[in-house]
Order: sequence, then C-alpha cells, then structure tokens
Amino acid sequence: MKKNHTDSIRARSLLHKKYLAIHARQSIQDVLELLANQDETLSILVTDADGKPLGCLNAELLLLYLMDGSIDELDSGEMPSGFAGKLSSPVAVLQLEKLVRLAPDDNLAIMLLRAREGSSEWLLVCDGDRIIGQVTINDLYLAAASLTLAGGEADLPFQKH
Amino acid sequence: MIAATSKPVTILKSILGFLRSAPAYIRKDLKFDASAAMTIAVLGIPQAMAFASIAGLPPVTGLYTSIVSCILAALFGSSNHLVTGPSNVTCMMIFSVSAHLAVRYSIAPLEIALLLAFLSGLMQIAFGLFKMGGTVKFISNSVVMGFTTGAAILIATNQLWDFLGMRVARSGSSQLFSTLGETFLSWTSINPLGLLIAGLTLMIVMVTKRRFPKLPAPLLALLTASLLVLILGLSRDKMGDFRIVVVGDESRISGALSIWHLPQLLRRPNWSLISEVVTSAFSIGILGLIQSASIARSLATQSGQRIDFNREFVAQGLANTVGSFFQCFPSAGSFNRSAVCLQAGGKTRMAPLLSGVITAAFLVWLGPLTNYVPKPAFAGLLMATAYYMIDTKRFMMIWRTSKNSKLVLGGTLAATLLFSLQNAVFIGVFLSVATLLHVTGKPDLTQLMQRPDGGFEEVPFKKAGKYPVALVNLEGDFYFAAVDDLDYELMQCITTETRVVVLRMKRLRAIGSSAMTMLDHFHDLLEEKGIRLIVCGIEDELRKLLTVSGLREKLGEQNIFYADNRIFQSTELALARARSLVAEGRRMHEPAKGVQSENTLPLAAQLMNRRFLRFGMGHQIREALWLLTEMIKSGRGSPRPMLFLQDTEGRMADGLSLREFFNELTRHPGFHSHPDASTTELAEYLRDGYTQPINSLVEGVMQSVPGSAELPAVLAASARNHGGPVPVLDEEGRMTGLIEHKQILVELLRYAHQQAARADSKASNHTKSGDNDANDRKKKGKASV
Repeated sequence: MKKNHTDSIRARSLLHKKYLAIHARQSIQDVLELLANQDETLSILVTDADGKPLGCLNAELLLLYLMDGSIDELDSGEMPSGFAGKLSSPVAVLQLEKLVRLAPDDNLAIMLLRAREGSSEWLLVCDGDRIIGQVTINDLYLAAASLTLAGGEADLPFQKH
Repeated sequence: MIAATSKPVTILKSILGFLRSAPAYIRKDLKFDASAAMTIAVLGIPQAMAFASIAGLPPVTGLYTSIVSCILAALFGSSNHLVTGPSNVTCMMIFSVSAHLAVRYSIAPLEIALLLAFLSGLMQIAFGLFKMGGTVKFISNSVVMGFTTGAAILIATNQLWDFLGMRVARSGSSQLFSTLGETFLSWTSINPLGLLIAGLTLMIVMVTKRRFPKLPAPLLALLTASLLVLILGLSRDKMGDFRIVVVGDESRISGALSIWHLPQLLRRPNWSLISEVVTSAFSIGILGLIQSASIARSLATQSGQRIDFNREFVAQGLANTVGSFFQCFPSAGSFNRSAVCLQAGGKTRMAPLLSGVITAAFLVWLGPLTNYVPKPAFAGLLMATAYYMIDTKRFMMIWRTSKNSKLVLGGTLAATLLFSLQNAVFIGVFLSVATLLHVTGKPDLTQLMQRPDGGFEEVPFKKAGKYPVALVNLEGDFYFAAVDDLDYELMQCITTETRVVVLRMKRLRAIGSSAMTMLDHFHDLLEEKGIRLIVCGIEDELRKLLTVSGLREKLGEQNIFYADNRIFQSTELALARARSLVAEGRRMHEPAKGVQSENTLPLAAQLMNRRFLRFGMGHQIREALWLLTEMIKSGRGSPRPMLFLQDTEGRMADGLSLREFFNELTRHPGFHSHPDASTTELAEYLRDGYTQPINSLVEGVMQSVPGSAELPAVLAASARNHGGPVPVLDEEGRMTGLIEHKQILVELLRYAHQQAARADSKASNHTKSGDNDANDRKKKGKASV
C-alpha cells in the first residue's frame, strides 16, 4: 500500500525556528511599531524579565485594546482621545492569549487538537522549558488540507458534483 | 512464435466459423441478400454500361467491372452494403486521362484504363496496409462537392455529342470549353432521331424516378428506347444520316465470359506512358477511396455496422489491381447501388457479391441483347445521372456556410472545369489546407472583463475600456505562423492606464519555439513601457516550454499561474496578483497619497488593498478549502488569509477567516477522542461535512465601510469585527477592497507619530513663547531703568 507522506508529520517537521518576542515591560507603542513593520506575522510572544513566555499578543488584541471605550468617539468621526496614553502603557496591561504548547514529537492529530483548543495564530514548540520554535496555524491548515486531498480521485475538489 | 501461429489459427477458426454458420445463413439471411442482389443488378447493369461510355470505353467493360470488382470488394471488404463497380466520377477521370494519351501513344484507351486500375489499386492496398484510412478525412466536404459538381457538368457536356446523335468523330478532349466548342461547330451533324431517343430516355428516367421511385428507371428507359429502335428499325443502314448508333456498332457483346486479359502495358511497359499516368492513378485511387469510405460510413450510420476502413481500402485496392487482369477499369463504391442494397434488405456482404454473380449470368445469357441498346439512350441516361449528381441544396448550404467553404468549393469546381480532373482534387485539398492555415493562423484575442458576480465576459480590445489590468484571453493555435506579429497585436490591449497585462493561455494548442520567442519579445515590449506581464492557465506542456526557454525565470515564478481543473481558478489568482502589483505601483509612485497632509485622516479607499479572494456562495466547503490552500502555498496571501463570500449579484455576504475554516474542519468529535488517530482517520474526520455548501458558514455579521469612510470609521468597523480586517464595499454592496490588519496598525502608528510631533511642536512653541516673554520683560526693565 502506498505510504501516506503525512504519517511522518510531527511538530518538529513543521516548526519555524524564528518567532517574534517582546518583553512584558515594553510599551504598547513598541508592539505597534514591531507589528506594523512585519509582513509575515501578526502575533508576538510576550515574555517576562527572565525570558519566560507569558502569553501571546496578536494584532486583534492590540487593536481591541487601543479602541476599547472609544467606539462612540470613532462613530462620531473622532480619533480616540486616550490613544496616546494607551500607547505608553506596558504590554503587561493587556489580556494576553493563552499559550498553546507542543512537544517536538507531537503528531498531527495532537497538533490539530491543540490548535483548535486555542485561538492563537501559532503554537509554541518547547523541548522541556526551552522554546525551540513555533508552528503556525497556516502550516497546520496546509497539512490538514493535504490529507483531504490524499484520499483518491473521488475526494478531489472541483470535480463534477 | 505464439504470434506467428495465432494468425493462421484465427483465419482457420474464422473459416470454420463461417462453415458452421453457413446452414443458419442459408435459412435466415440468404433470401434477403438474394433479393437485394437482384435489385442491385437490375439497377446496375444499365448504369455499368452507361458509365463505361463516360470513360470512353466499350460498354461491356462496365459489366466486367460490375462483376469482378464488385465480387472482390465484397469478399475482402468490411461493409455489408457497399457495392463496388463503375462510378461516374472515376469514369470521367479515366476519360480525361485515357482519351488524349490513347491518341498520343496510339494505344487502345482500355489499356490505359487497365493500367490506371492496376496502379491505383496498388496505391489503395498500400494505404490500407499502412493503416492510412484516416487520411481521407483531410479531404473536406467542400472539395468533394466542388469536384462532384464539376464532374457532373463535364459528364453532361461530354454526353452532349451522343445526346444529339452526332455521328462524326470527336477529338477526344474532355475539356469543358473545347467539348462545347467542338459540339457547337458540328451542329450540322445533329441527328434529330438520336436527339429524340435521348430526350425520351431522359424523360422516362426523370418521370419514373419522380412518380414511381420503386421502379428501376434506368432499365425501363433503356428497354423502351431499345425496343423502339428495334421495332422501328432506326438502327438499320437504310436510315442513312438518321440512323441511330447502337452499342453493337462499336464492340459487340458476344455473351461469352472470357474476360481474362493481361494488360498490354504490363506485358510491355511503356515507362514514358506509365510516368504520365502515375499522378492520375493516385488521384483516381484517392478519389475512389474517399467515395467508397464516405458511402460506407454513411450506410453504416443507418445500419449500425462498424466499418474497418483500412480493410475496406485493401479490398478496394484488390478489386482494382486484380480486376485490371479481367478488363475492369478503376472502380469505386456506388452510392445508388449501395443505398439500394441497404433499402432492399441486404444483410451481409453476400448481397453485393451475389449482384456480381447475377450480372455475370446476365452477361452470359442476355448479354447479346445489349448490342441493340441505342447510344443516344445511354447519353440520355447519363444526362439524368449528371443532373442527379448535382446536389444543389447541399451545394448552396456549403456555399453559404463561410467564406472559406465558398473559396474551396468554388476553387475546386473551377479547377475541375478548367484544368485536368486528376489535378482538381489536389487543388481542392491545397485550398482546404490553405484556408485552414489561414483560419488557424491567428489565435483569437479577446479581453476578459470580470463581472460583478465574479464571472468573466469576453469583449473585443476596442470595447474593453481603460483599466490598470488588461486580461487577455488567447485561444487557438500558437504555432509559428500564428504568432507572427502577434506581440504587436497584443500591444493593442495597452491603454494609457495599463499597468499589468495578464495573458490567459489555457486554450492554446500547437505551441512551439516561435511562440516562446514572441512571448519573450512581448515581455520586453511591456517592460520598456513599465508594464508587468503575468501569465495564467499554464498547462504542463507550456510550463515545460517556459522552463526550457528560460522564460519561466524571466517572468518570475510569482507571475506564472498554472491551470487546474477549475475554470478560471488560475485566472482569478493571476488577477489578484495583478491588482496587488497595481496597488504596489501606486504606493511607490504616489507616496503622499496615503495621507494627504499631516492633519488629514486617510480615507478607506486609500487604505484598501485590492488583493482579496472572492468566492461564490454556491460552492462547497472543500472548494474553498482548496482555494485557501493554494493562496497560502503561493505565499502571496496575508498572514491571516480570508475568503469573502458573495452572492450571485456580487454583493459581499460575509468574510471567513482561516481560523474559522480551521475550526470548521476540525469540529469532528474524533479529534478530541482520538489523539493518536492515523492520517487516514484524520482525513475521514476532516472530510466529514466538507461537501456542505459554503453558505452554511455564513453569519453575515462582518462590518464593512464605504470607500469614502475616514480612519475613525474604519477603526470602529475593525473594533466591531473583533479587531479584524475591514472590507470596503461600493454603493451596491460589492467588495472593492480590503483594509487588512497591518494597514490599520500602520495608520495608527502614523497617527501616533503625528500626535507626538504635534505635541513636540506645541511644547517647542510654548518654550519659544516663554523666552520671548522674558526678553520683553528684560526690554521693559531696561526701558524702565
């Protein structure tokens, strides 16, 4: 029987070693600068002073924080009055996303389950306490999609139905 | 070894099978075949003698051809109903070749006709053995119609001489104008009695065919004319100049069946003569094959029989080559007799075979009676034949179909009438191929415009309007002749607004190196104008050519979109890429456009990106899944790919994020209960419900803004979308762009910088004004001191 290439999918085979991280004491403006100059991700890892991961901050959380309590102003065509003050606040004031961790040898079923449980853009791959990389939701989506396409002719999309 | 022994075994089995089935055949089908054979013979005997007259040969040779060629073709052929024998068109060709060569080489026309039969038969056998049955399809209907019509006119003009009962000798020319001229100049030798007999025969044939179509009209006409001449003694010498010429005057039919005859030109070859007739033999052979194949195919559509054309070709060749040793001139399938065979209930190839046997019996027992058939009667019969050969309805249909059909039809007809018959076919084929090349020499170029519902419509270049993206659809052949100057023609799609040209190349055929050179040059022409080129709908063959020609690298992988099994999929992706390039270009060339001034807030239309995926709501989830997959794989999507659903009118219904898709895909309980699930099980979980329509995921809660909305409205919409992106819609609710997370963050940062700069400026002014006050106070103090 033809071996399915996805049998060998593990967290270590999907991970990216690069990830964005910021210190919890840094300002919201720093995060804004960082994300506004990124093309590949809209999420950032927040760590404490020891480099220990605290949670995940993404563009949605950041925007919601900056617009929080300002909807009426925005609806009346004004920019939020407390905007500048919020920018100078530390990242620690934000409600961060809970981190979802994976072990390097976690299989695809576990990765999909973990990704569904969380809501972040990526999952942290840790070897013990050491962060070794991240697996993005896009990579998991591609792996899942490839499974649906690997079921033979009858299951291929865009056939006559 | 197995192959070597299997063939004889198969033949043996076939013979044994036939012997076994012979009693059943005699019981069941013989009576039908015998009845059909009798009908064919009654119709065919007068025709055979008349057609021999067309060829300028003794009438009895027509009977020989009806016997030997018919039996051989039936024995070895494939069709159950094809009746082979003398044919009007081939006879006309034989006459056009043999008449003048016979005079030039002082040889009997029959010997030339036998040589033609021998050579054309060999060619036909070769065609069959080399399995070239399919080549006849390259001769179009227009060619066959033009040729047949021309041949009919030539038959009529050539029979004019006998029809008028003229007794003076002819020159032997078969050319239209020389024959007409010759006849006109000899008008004083017209025999009114001959004309009367010919007219009477013509009238009987036409009236009988119209009023009593089931009666054998030719036989009745010849019988009546012969009896009239015999009873009134019109063929006696005492009639003087009014004497009617009969068949027996030129060559008497004895009734003996001694037809074996080794052709003189095979015994003592005259190479000069042979070299002259080779081309004609080829023409006659080809024409015979076309005629036989088209008749067999036409009858097979009615009978449901499957025809082996290669075997039929061999059979026709054997009939001609072997027939040439039995005084048979070149033969072909006869439509009249074949149609009669089918209509009269013929079941197997025994029907045409038996018709040959019956003709032979007629020749032996009643042959001498044919000596009394008056020649003007034959002419009358052939005039009727010529009349029925011209199918005016089909002729006009072809004539009106297209300019090309008209050219081929008219050209072949003119060539048939003005040049030699044997060359007319080749001229017709040349015209067909030339017009075909002319038609295929230009691929269709149209511009595609995307409708609001996401579909595409074709418009000519001139009506396409001015847009930054020109989507050009190329269809047709793309070989060397087709691509000549095509790059310059493609440039016609360029307007002052054009920034990107997308070439859709899915429907192209016969792509070669010339096409690659053209594309390369087109790319360079565009580059000179600062216009980008994107190609889409690229099939495997074209991809290979792009790679080996180096164009793939030159165009850039991100500008090449490969064809898939969903129509316009790659086109949509290519368009998204093109729009992105246009937006990028605008940002580069108009940096100040995003924010008009320091204190002005940008509008949604200035922030939006036109690179987004729209998808019809009638599709299944799995199709959306695949589309998103391709978008991510191409690396051109945003970090948060989204799919925007639209209704049939193009109005945006909702936006689905990759996360929503992911959650939908992984909602099967198996994901929770089986963390060790194999990939096969995972695939099953994932596929559960993915054939559902995509509109089952629509919630319709996504906030959007118009293009005129200012930044605060955009931020409010984003906040209501839980910090998500904001679609920009036109007045009718159709999506025109998307403001992504990153753009919102960039604008917020810009705004933050402006605010900071303003605060700095204020602080600076405040400091300055403080300094000024101190100076004033100093001045005042000084003044006071």
